Amino acid sequence: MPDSNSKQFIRRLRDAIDEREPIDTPEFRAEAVSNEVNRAAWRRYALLESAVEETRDRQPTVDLGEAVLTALRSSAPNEATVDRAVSARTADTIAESRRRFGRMALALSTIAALVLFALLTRPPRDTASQPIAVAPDRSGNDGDAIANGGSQPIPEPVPEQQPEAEIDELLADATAAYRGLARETRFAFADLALFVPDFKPNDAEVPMPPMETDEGWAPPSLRNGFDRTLDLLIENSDEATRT
Amino acid sequence: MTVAADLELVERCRNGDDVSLLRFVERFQGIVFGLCFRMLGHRQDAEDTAQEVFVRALKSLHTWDRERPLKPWVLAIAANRCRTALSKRAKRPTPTEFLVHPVTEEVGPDRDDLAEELQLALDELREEYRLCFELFHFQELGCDEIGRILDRPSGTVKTWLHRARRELARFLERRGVAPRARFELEAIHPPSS
Repeated sequence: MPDSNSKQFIRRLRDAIDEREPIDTPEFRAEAVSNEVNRAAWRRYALLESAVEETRDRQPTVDLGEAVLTALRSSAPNEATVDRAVSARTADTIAESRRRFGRMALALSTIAALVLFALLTRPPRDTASQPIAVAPDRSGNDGDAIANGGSQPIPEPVPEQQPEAEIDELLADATAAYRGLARETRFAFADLALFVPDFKPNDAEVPMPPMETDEGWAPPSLRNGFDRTLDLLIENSDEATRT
Repeated sequence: MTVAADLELVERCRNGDDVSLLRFVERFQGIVFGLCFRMLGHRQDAEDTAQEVFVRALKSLHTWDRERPLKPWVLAIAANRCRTALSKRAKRPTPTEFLVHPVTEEVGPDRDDLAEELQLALDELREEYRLCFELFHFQELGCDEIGRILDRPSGTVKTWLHRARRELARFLERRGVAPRARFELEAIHPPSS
């Protein structure tokens, strides 16, 4: 068992190595020969130091310049091909999205026209439910009319021209159009969501994962979150339309 | 090389200047290949991995933080690539070429090749100890910088370094490796008996 002096000596040896200071000094040597524990510890670390020195002096050499340039050049065309393929697919998706947006705009204008038409043609609710044929007498002899046993002419209800049915029909049309629009919107936004990239960290700038585990770290997919949000919105708008 | 020179070199590389790309590789190939060789213990694997390191580094130069030195950034990529290569190797069936250095207790007359013995000892170390030792002693990075590369606190790096040294020293001792003459205590202080 090393005594406290030896423990201190070993600690100072380790500190010196940590600070890149030499351990082959007269001070360390003098302490090393004082007992067997010190001697063994000093000899062990000195052996390691000399092995490191020798390895450093004999660094393996290699010339990677041309190989790296060749690898860079050969990888560049492949990436360009991939880029072109992605660009073509993206262009198709954009064209399709534009067509869908056009249809959406048309559907929106139709709905707006229907709603405007319904508002303009719908008669006021109180007039329609209680049509008055004769205007009430406002001459101030209401009391006389009552006293005379209701000789005042009673207004006859005017038969409705079925405006409610027409309005309901218009509203049903508008509702169907809105649902169609909601479906179109879902498709259009689903296309847009394609442009939201799945985020993947760059190997060069990301810290290494813990060394004991090989679990890769990845943030939650932005695209999936976006899809789920859209679905929720469309479902809620469907619910609102039904009610 | 100064930070300004690093910046200029990186800018030229990003513009695709072949001469600068070659200069970049020449500047770092010694340390990158050395790290790969000592981590993987196999020359061909080290060459392949070092090449991957440069291709990856040159393609991602835009991610380099200009406020920090270039060398630790390159070494971080190299360390990651070595770890990947080692994990791929672990999943493969072990080829016989990696079994050329069986560890034995025997002491032979040719135990004086310290560099070779150290490489054998490094091969026996845990991967994270080996990486710490390599980055500290051969790449001369500080514990803080190593901690950043390994995503560990510098205290953990220090502990790993001490354990790495202790295990390496014991391995060399078991192998009967003799230190150089200048490390013999008796040369200066003969034991008093």
